[in-house]
Amino acid sequence: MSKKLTDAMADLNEDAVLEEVKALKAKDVPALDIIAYLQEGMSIVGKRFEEKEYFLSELIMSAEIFKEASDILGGTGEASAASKYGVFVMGTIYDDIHDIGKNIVTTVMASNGFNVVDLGVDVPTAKYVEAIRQYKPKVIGISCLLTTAFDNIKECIQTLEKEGLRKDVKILIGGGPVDEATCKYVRADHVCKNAQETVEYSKKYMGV
Amino acid sequence: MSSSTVQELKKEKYDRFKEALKLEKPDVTPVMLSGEPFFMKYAEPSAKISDLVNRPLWAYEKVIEGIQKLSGVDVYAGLIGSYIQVSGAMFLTKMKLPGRELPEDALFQYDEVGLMTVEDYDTIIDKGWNAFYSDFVVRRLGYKPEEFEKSKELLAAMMPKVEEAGINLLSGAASGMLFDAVCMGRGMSNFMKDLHRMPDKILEVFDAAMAEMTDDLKKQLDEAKPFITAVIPANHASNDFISRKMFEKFAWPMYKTFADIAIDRGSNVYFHMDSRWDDNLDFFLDFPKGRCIFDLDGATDIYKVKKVLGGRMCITGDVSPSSLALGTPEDVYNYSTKLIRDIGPEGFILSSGCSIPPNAKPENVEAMVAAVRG
Repeated sequence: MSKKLTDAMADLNEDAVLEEVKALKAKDVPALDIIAYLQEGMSIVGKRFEEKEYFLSELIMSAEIFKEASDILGGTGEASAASKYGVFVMGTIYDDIHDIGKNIVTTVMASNGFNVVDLGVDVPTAKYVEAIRQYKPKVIGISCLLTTAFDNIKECIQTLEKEGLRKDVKILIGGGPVDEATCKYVRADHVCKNAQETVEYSKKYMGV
Repeated sequence: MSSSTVQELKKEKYDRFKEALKLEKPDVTPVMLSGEPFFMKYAEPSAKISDLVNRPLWAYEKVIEGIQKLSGVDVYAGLIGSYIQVSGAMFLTKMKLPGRELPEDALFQYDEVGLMTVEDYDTIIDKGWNAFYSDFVVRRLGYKPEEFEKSKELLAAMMPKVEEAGINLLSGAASGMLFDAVCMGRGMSNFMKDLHRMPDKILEVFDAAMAEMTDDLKKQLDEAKPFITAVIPANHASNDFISRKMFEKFAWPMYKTFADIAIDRGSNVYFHMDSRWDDNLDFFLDFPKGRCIFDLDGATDIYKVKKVLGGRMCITGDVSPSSLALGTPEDVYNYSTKLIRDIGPEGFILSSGCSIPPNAKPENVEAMVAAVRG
C-alpha cells in the first residue's frame, strides 16, 4: 500500500502524485494496484467533500490529477477497469445547455468509483435510449435547469417506458428548479438535491 | 389612467420598496419580479420567446403591458430593452438563441464555450481588463460591434416607454460579475483548476481588472446617482463551487469593494445571490444597517438568512420557479403568505426565486401577488 500516493491524492498535491505514480510504475507495481491507491485517495476526497472541507473546485482538481495519473498508466481505460461500482449515465435534457450541475454530479460520481458515461448537454431522448441499451446502467441522471424543459424530461421518460427500458433503470433528476413536484410530474424515481445524494442513492440501489 | 395618477402610483410603489429596504414596515409587503418571457406571454399568449430576439421593440412593449396587467409589481428587477444577442458578452460567453440554435420557444442560454486561455490572464495583467474585453468579445467570441450599438439604441427606445408606463426599475448600475465572467470565459472546469494551480496569477488578474472596474463604477455612480446599485455575486463563488477560504481570498474582496463604493456614494446595494450561500452569510454583516437587499433564488436557506442578516439587510425571495410552473394557486399563495409572516413583514420583499419562468401559470403568479394583501 502506498500511503504516500493515497495521501498526496487526498491532499490534491498534483506534483507529488505524478512523481509517485512514475516511481511506482518504474518499480513494476501493477497499474491496477496504483489505481487502487489513487482511488483510496479519491475516497478521502469524497469524504472531505461530504464534510464540507472540500467543494466542487477540489473535486474538479482531484478528477484532473486522477486523469493525469491514469494517463501515465496507459489511459483512463485502466481507471475504468478499476471502477468499483457500476455504470452511471448522465446528461442534461434537450433544449437545455447548462452543464454545471451535470459536471458536478459526474465528477463526484466518478470520484466515488462509478464508471460515468457523460452524454453532454442538450441530449435528445434517442441518445438516452442508445446509452441505456449500450451500457445497461442501473441508474441514470437527467439534469435540468429550466422549468421550460420539464416537459422534455417527461417525454424522455415516457419514451423509455415505451421502449421497455424503464423497468430496469432508476431515473434520478436534479437541477436548480427541480423539486418533488417536478419528480412526480415527469415520473422520475427520485430528485437529488446535490451530488452526494446521487452517490448515496446509487450506492444504495446498487447494493453497495 | 391619467399620467399624473400613473406617476403617483409609481411613487407609492417605490416608497413601499424603499421602506422595506430601510427595514421598516410598509403598508403592504412590496413585490419585486422579473422575467421578460413570462410578462410578454402574459400580455400576448401567442408570443414566442424568439420574439424577444427577432422583434424586440414589439416584444418589450408586450412585457410592459404584461407588467401593467399584473398591476401588483412594485419594482421590476428584469431588463426591459436588453438586446439578447449580445447579453452573453458580459460573461465572456456566446449565446444560444431561440429560433436560431434553439427551438422558437426555448429560453435563450449562455453558451460557455471557454475560449479564454492562460495567455489571456497575462493580457489582462499587462494591458488591463477593458483592452482585453473589447478585443475578446469581438475577435474571439464573434460579437459584431454594430450589435452593441443596436443594444444601446434598443435600451434608449424602451426607457421612455417604461417611464410612461409607471414601472419602477430596480437598478441603475451593475457591477460585481468579474468572478463569474472569468470563470465562464475560461470554462468552469479550467477556472476551478486555475484557482488551485495558479492562485497568484488569478489574484493579479482580479487586481488589474478591479482597478479599472472600480473607476468605471465610480464614474457611473457620480453621473447617474442611482438609488440602487446591483452587485451580482450570482453563481460561481457560492458554497456550491468554492470553499469559504477560497471565497474570502478570491471573491469577497471584489464584492466588498464594489458595495463599499456604492454605499459611500449614497447608493444602496442589491446583492443578487443565485445558488447556495448558507456558509458565507456572515461576511455580509460588514455593511451598514438598512442599506442592502439580499436577493435569493431558493437555493440558500431563507430562514438561515433571516437569522444571520435579518434586522440588518432587507431580504428578497423566494417563491420557487417549479411551484410557479407546476403548482396550484393555493400552493403559491400559502408559501408566499408564510414568507411574509416568517421573513417579514419588516425588511422583506416578496419575489420569485430568480426570474419568473416563461411557463409559469398566470394564475399562480396572480396568487403570489395577491398574497401581500391577504
